[in-house]
Amino acid sequence: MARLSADTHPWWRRTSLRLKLQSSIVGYALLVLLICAVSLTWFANTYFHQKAQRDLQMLGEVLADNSRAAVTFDDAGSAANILEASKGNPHIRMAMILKDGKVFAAYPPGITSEGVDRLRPGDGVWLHEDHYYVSVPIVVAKDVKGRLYLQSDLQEWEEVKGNLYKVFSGLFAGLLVLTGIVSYWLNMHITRPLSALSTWATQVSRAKDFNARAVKHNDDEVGTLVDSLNTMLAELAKQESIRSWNEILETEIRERKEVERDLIAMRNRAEAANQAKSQFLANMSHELRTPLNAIIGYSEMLQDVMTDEELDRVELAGDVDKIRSAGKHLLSLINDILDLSKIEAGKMDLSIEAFNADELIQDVIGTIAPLAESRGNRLRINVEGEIGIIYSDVTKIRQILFNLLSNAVKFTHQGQVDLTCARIHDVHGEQVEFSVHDSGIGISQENLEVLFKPFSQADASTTRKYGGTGLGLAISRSYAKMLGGEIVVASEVGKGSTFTVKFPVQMEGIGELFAEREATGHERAASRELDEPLEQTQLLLIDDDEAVHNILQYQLSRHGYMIHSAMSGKEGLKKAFEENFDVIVLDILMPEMDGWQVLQKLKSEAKTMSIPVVLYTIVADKEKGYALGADDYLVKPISKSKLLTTLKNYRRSSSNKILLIDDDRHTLELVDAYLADMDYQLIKAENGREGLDILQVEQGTMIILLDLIMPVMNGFEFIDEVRKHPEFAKIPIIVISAHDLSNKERSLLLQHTQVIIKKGEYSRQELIGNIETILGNQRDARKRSGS
Amino acid sequence: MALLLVVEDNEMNADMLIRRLNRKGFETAWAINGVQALEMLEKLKPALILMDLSLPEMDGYQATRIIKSGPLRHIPVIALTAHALLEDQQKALTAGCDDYETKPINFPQLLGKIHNHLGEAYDNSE
Ligand SMILES: Nc1ncnc2c1ncn2[C@@H]1O[C@H](COP(=O)(O)OP(=O)(O)OP(=O)(O)O)[C@@H](O)[C@H]1O
Ligand SMILES: [Mg+2]
Repeated sequence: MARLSADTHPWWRRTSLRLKLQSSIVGYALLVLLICAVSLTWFANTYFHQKAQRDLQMLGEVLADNSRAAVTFDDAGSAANILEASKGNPHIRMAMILKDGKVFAAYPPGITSEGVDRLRPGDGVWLHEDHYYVSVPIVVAKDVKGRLYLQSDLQEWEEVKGNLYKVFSGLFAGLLVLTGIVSYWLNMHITRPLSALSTWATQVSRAKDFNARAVKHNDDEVGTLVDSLNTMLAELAKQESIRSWNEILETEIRERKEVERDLIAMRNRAEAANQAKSQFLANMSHELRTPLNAIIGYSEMLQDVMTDEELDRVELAGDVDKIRSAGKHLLSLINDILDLSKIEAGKMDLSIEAFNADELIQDVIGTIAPLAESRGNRLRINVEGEIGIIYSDVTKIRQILFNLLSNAVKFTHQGQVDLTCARIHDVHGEQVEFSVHDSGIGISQENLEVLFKPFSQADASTTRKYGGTGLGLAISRSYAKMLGGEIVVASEVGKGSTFTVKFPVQMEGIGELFAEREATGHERAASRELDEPLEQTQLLLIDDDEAVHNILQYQLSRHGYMIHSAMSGKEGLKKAFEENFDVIVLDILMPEMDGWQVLQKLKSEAKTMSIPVVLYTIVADKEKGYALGADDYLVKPISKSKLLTTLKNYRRSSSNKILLIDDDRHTLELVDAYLADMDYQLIKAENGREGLDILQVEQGTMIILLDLIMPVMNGFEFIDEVRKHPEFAKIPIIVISAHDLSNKERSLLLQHTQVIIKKGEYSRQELIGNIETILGNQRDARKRSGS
Repeated sequence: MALLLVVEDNEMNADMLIRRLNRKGFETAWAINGVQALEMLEKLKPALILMDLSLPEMDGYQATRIIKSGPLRHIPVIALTAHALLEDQQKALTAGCDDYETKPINFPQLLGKIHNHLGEAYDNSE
């Protein structure tokens, strides 16, 4: 039986403590009162009745005694007088003497014997209908002469009873008041605190706020209860915090597990990639060895043949040609690998130019047609409509088409290969689409998925049968992506394949590129004002090898050097005496007059003595060079970065003034440190106003590095001011700010500045890279305007 | 002199090898894949086989396994392959090849191996 569950508790268990307490107090008091009243009443009752009987008996006997003579002498009058004496007792209602069954005398007079029948015969006292009766014999000489009857009412008892009730009512009222006081007191000191505690506990348990504490008012059991409740809560709070810590720990563990899973997945991927790479390298090694085998074999054979007398020149020529073709195959393989690794490292550059689609197609077909023919394939070209000029990287597109076509031709034997070209317009804008369809062996669904993956070959057996390394498509897809396009394939085994490459007619970013060119074009006028020879470092290169001149021209011209060429020692000396140079780069090994002689001559003439000379040669004779007065030494072959760092020391100093405007000392120091070993002259200003003043004084500032939030004049105001001065308006600005810019602010800012760099988020490389790019652009612009 | 069967799918490499062997006085025959090699083996009964391993139709491993389980199993097979890893070599030997030479071929070394195996083969057959 579930009678103990909360709802099924009997009502008395459910009533509040207060009600219970009050009702039990009242109940108890009432009970005591009731018992007192009942017992007292009973007691009084008994006492009264006994007394009443006794009194009546005595009165009866007295009256009977007194009336003996009257009865004896038949004197009814005196008998009546005697009876009249009972008048003194108000409760006597009737007195009567019966003689021989007749009323002899009566009080009050006049009453008849009627009703006397009801009187019980015999002696004694009895109660009848709220009246006591007594009957006493009147005895004369042992003879019963008559009988005396008395009737008394219970009026006296009623009075006593009334008084009793009054007393009890008074007591009851007093008791109630007392109970009220007591229960109020109890309520104040026990029930109220308890129920308050209970409400509070309910709230706490509902809100689960285990940090709440009950207030202790008394030092009694309730106080103790409060104490122990608080202790309990503290315990709970502790457990709760442990629980929440546990939860945090659990989430942490879960998160860690997720990370772990990710790491494992990453590791697996890396392992798979590694595996693919190893597999690829093994294949690569195989592919490289095959042509090498031919190259080495034929070469050795040729060595043999050459020592023989009977030398067949025609046969020899054929063998040499084989070596050459094997070598070329090897080269193309190596190039493919290089391309792929460049693409993977994100180092593949695009060279975008305008070209004609028809020319491209003719070009590719010219190469592929002989291959198609040799495999008995018919080649069809279908150009749909006018394709027009394409702005993209023609070399990459040519390579893609060549790869697709050579695959089609390779995997098709005595079939049909179609090249379709069309200009289409879709969601991505104007596109060119080349589609290569063949009727060859086709590709299985499974192989289609891995086809384009670098380092993953489609089908080992196919590759073995048809040669190749599986790089063609990987490279092609990467190129297509770089050009903003894609390659898709549809194929059915045994029926043939269709590879479709699609890319924008105008490569994305081309607009900006051309716009930039225009902008630099506009800048010409402004930059012309700058004193050009002063800015560029004049370098005299004395070398008999034209290739070196070309390379240096290419590598250095963008970095602020003007290269003056001398093809021999003599010419070099002549130029050195006629013109002024900042630095001379000198080759040692030259015909007629070698570098040592030139160096000696240069160092012995007053005019050229102080010009720094950098030796540039394959002879690692450093000491001799220094002894003869050379300032620096470079050993061939030289990397561009080595060249630049060596030559930097001989550049015209302070050619690149950079103005840094920032109120934050920390930033000033940081930028200073970053640019310390660069060839820049850093001028610092603490606010926009100061920056403007400096611009007026310092001529030829190349770049402004600008903070935005500054006192006196902030970055935005500074930009506004600068735009008002035509002579400064063209100075490129790099914003370096910690300010969080909205997109709108950003685009507004970029209308007047070159670059926005976020403070604290840029590296030295980034800063220098940005500066160099801008300086490079300026130089380019100047060069163009100069030529 | 002894007849050598060259099994090689790369025309240039086959041409080169055959001509070099001819110059050393060997007679040669050329098979372009495993299937052809097995056919020619029956007809020509060469003294030794130079077997490229990656071949179309039937590769060198399979051809070697067939040869080594047939009546002509005494004919030595020297594997010639551009696979350069140790495990490739192991694979060749497991297939039943008697010797192994990695491309690009070290010709004098190959000649040494051929003479070695021919000597042994004659010794065994006589
Ligand atoms: N037109 C085609 N028909 C059937 N299979 C093709 C076709 N084009 C490519 N494949 C499959 O895709 C694989 C990868 O092609 P991919 O051009 O990348 O490499 P490859 O031609 O084998 O070697 P590579 O181009 O580097 O010389 C091929 O080996 C071949 O299995
Ligand atoms: Mg290919």
